[in-house]
Parts: sequence; structure tokens; C-alpha cells
Amino acid sequence: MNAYETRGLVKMYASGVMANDGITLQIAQGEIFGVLGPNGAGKSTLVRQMVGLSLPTRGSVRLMGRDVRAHDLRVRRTVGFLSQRPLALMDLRASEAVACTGMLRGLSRRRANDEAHQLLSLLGMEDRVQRLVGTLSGGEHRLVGMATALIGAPPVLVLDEPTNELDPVARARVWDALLARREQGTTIILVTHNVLEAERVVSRVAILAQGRVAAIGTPGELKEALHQLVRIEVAVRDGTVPTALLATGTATRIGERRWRIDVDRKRLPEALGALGRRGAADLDDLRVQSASLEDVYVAYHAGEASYDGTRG
Amino acid sequence: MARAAEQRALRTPGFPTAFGVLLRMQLARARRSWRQYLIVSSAMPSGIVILLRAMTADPPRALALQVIAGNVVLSVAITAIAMLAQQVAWMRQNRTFDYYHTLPVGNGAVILAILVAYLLFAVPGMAVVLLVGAMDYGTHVALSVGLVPAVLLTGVALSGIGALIGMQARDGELAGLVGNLVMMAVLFLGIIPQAHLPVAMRVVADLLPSTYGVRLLLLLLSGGASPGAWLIDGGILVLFAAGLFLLVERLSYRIG
Repeated sequence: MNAYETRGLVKMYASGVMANDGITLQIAQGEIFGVLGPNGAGKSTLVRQMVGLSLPTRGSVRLMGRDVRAHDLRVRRTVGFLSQRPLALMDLRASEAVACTGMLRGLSRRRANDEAHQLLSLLGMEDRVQRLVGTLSGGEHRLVGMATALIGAPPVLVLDEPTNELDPVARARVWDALLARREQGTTIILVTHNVLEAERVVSRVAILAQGRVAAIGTPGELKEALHQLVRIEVAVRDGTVPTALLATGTATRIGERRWRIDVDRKRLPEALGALGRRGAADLDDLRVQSASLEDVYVAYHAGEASYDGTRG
Repeated sequence: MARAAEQRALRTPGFPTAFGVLLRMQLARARRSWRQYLIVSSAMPSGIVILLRAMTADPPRALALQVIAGNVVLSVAITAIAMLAQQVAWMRQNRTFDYYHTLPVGNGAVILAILVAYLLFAVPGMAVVLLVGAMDYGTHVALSVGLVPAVLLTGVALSGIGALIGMQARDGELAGLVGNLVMMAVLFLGIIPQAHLPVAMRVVADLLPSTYGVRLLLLLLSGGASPGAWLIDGGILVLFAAGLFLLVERLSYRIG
């Protein structure tokens, strides 16, 4: 049985805006499922319907095989939700906010307090536990919100932009915490703009565009479906790149001495050979990478890629 | 695997636990705003008490107690109607209710915690008004245990009106405007004895729970309310409080 299943989900607002237009997804239990897309693609509307905060205009959302609309309490007992800002918690101390959430999820006062301190420490907030949430920075709000989603270990997590406004160290802590939860069998649905980092943790991804699923699959499948290109980024001390290298693919000058060349995988040995003849002493920087999930995302966003909808 | 996930589903806290935690969360607002609540809920009613005393020479005790009771209810109305209406509208606009609606607690516990919290925010202001009134009019006010349920019922009913305005108003600004208008009605209809009002105003007064709250408080401050008064005025307040609570609770499901 899938953790979540949406079928032909349509959400049209009273203003006439079609936020979701026939979204069908199956999310297996225990997977980390990413929902990517530009602003206004309908990501937040989708997850709000998944947690029962908004009703679909048409179609259905099922959680563990049961219709979300008919089982409101079951959804609340099963899902930990991270919304965009924890406004309800602003006047509470950080540890109090997390512990109160734990008690509202049925934990005893003692266990809620213990878990609250553990979670805040795990997220690097151990010196902020006594501060009022309203006095914390935007990134710290996110971490308190994250701890409230995690407390009580709900079997499903729905997280809307969990790493927004976080510094790299805090982001790494959040991803590590999520990976640890996946090891425990938690299903995680992740809405994010942070495509490169999401690639590290997600098992599958849906890319939304204009309220529809533009693509769905594992990051590897999507990248493969996109193209067979390898990207070479090279910085040379005198600014001149061998013409033999430039001839192997599509070259773009991206800085005074930096070039980007998109090379077909089959011509990669030829490109590296041309670079090798130049000599290591002339190279300032060199990066060779296959298409990232971000490239896929950008390509779908720009309409350069299409997807037949048979995968996933 | 589905069964394992279902077994991991969280427990639902009982109503008393949920209400206790939610009330604590609401009362936390006083950490930053207690001065504001105290000043707002005591300054205007105390000022009106002092003003009316200055305009009447040797007022009879009945009139003095009517003014004091009316202003005690006004101090509740300021926080419970005007301030709560804006707060609920703001919570609705900013999707603050999302947090509560995704936890395994009933909306009833959430709404009741908000209503009771705003009633409690008015308590210091009420005490100030009682004290100022008793001193300024130099009259004895009878303090009894009966004041607690009377104030509680009046407060929950008035908070219900405030929450209802906040749920229905387009935005916080409109909620504040409507809340202030209703508060003005509570002010005039509470202080002026009903027998002195024009017929149309008496009808409006009958529709406001504050009228019954003032009447009950007046009796209690005078020395005691009869079982009949409790039955009629207290009963009507119970109906107002329960009806408004249920209405607001139903409306809260439509948020989002």
C-alpha cells in the first residue's frame, strides 16, 4: 500500500486560478519524495490538500489507503507538517514550543520535554532553547518548526521548504535528521527549491509546472531522460582554451577566464584529451559533472524538456 | 508495512490535556503584551467611571453600581471583542490556524483556549475598574464567589462575538472596526439602565450577552443574585456562550 496517493487532483480557487490541474501521484511508504517546481507551480497547494488543510475541487487524496477528507483525525495523527512559518509559536520559548506540540501529539509532559531538548540539540539549537521563538532569526524559526514536525516521530512527514533561510551547516543537519528518519521507515514528502541538496536525499521527484506534473521519476531517470551531456567547467590562467576542446561540444564563456562546455558523453575522452594536451600548469580550476537535478529542473521550467508521463 | 505505520500513528490527547496545553500556549502571549492588555482594558472603563462620577452629584448606590458593573463588562469587551476580533482575523489571514489544524486535537479545544485566554487577559483590567469604581463612588461593592462564573460566562460569550467577527471579517482592519462598533454598543447599553433606553435600543440590548452579564454583575455587586436571576440571566449567558462557541468552532473548520 502507498503512503500517499493522489488521483486527478484539481484545485481551483474562487478567483478562477487553477493551482493544481489533474495531479496523480503514488508515494511509497518509506521513501523521500521531492516536489519541485518554480514559484506558483502549485506545490504548496498540493501539500495543503495532502494534509487536509485545503479541500480538492475534484479528485482524491488517500493516506495509507484512506480518503483524507473522510479521516481528518487519522491524518492529524499520522502526519507531521512543517508549514512556511511557525506563527502560532512566536510567544513561546523554543523548547516549550516543541514540547507543547509533542504533548498535543499525545506524549507525556516528561517525554515531550526530553524529546524537545534532544531535537533542538540535534538541529544545533541547544543554546537557543530558552529564547522566545519570536526573537529568533528566520532560519531559527525554520529549525523550531522542523523540530515541531519531528516530535513524536509521526510516520509521515510533509515538509514545505524545510531548508529555506538556513546556513549550510544547519541545512546539513536537517538533511541528516531526515535521512535518519527515513532509516526508521518514515515517509517524507519534501517541497523545496533547493534542488541540488534535495538530490542528495530524495528517492523520487515530481517536477510541477503550471499546476501539472511535468516529470516524475528518480533523479537518475530524469537526468537520463533529459540528455546525455557532461558539463566541463574550466578556468585557464591566460583565458585561452584549446579550440580542440571547444569543438567537442557547446562552449559558453561564463567569466573572464572561465568556460563551460557541454559535451556529449561519447566525446568526453576526446574533450579530456584536448584538455590534457594543454598542460596542468595552465589550469586554474577544472570541474567535470553530469547533468544535475537542477539542470533537469531548469530544463523543464524553460520548456526545453518534455516527458511522456509513462515513468513513475 | 502499512500496519506498522498505522501502529506508529500518534495518540490523541484527551480534551483536558489538549485544552490545558493550548491555553498555556495562548496565555504565553501575555509575556510580551501584558502591559498592553492591562492598559487597554482598564484605562477607558476607569476613565468613564471617573467622568460619570464627576458629572453626577451624590449619585444613588444603584446608579453607582450600574456604572461600575457596566464598565467591568466593558473592560472584558475591549479585550474579548475588539482585540480578539483583530487577533482571529490576523490568525486567519496568516494561516496561523494551520498549525492547530494539523495536530490531533479538536478545533473545539483550540477555540475554547483562545476564548478563555482573552477573557483571562481582561481580569487585571476588571479588578482595576472595580477598585477605581468603589473608591471613586465611595460605595461598598460586594465581592462573592458568584462573580467568577458570572464573569466567566459573560467573558466567553463576548469572546465568542469577537472570534465570530474575526472569522467573518475580510481582514484585520475590518475586524477591528466592527469589533469597536460592537464594543461601543456594549458600552452604552451596559451603562445606561435598560428602562431609560428607547424601545429600539432595548431590542438591541436584548440581543447582546453583555446586557445579561451587566444585570447579573449588578445584582452580585449589590449583595447577591437570587436563584431566579441566575436561572434567567445566567441561563441566557450559558446559551449565548455555548451557541457562539459552537458557531465559531464550526466556522473554524472552513478556514483554509
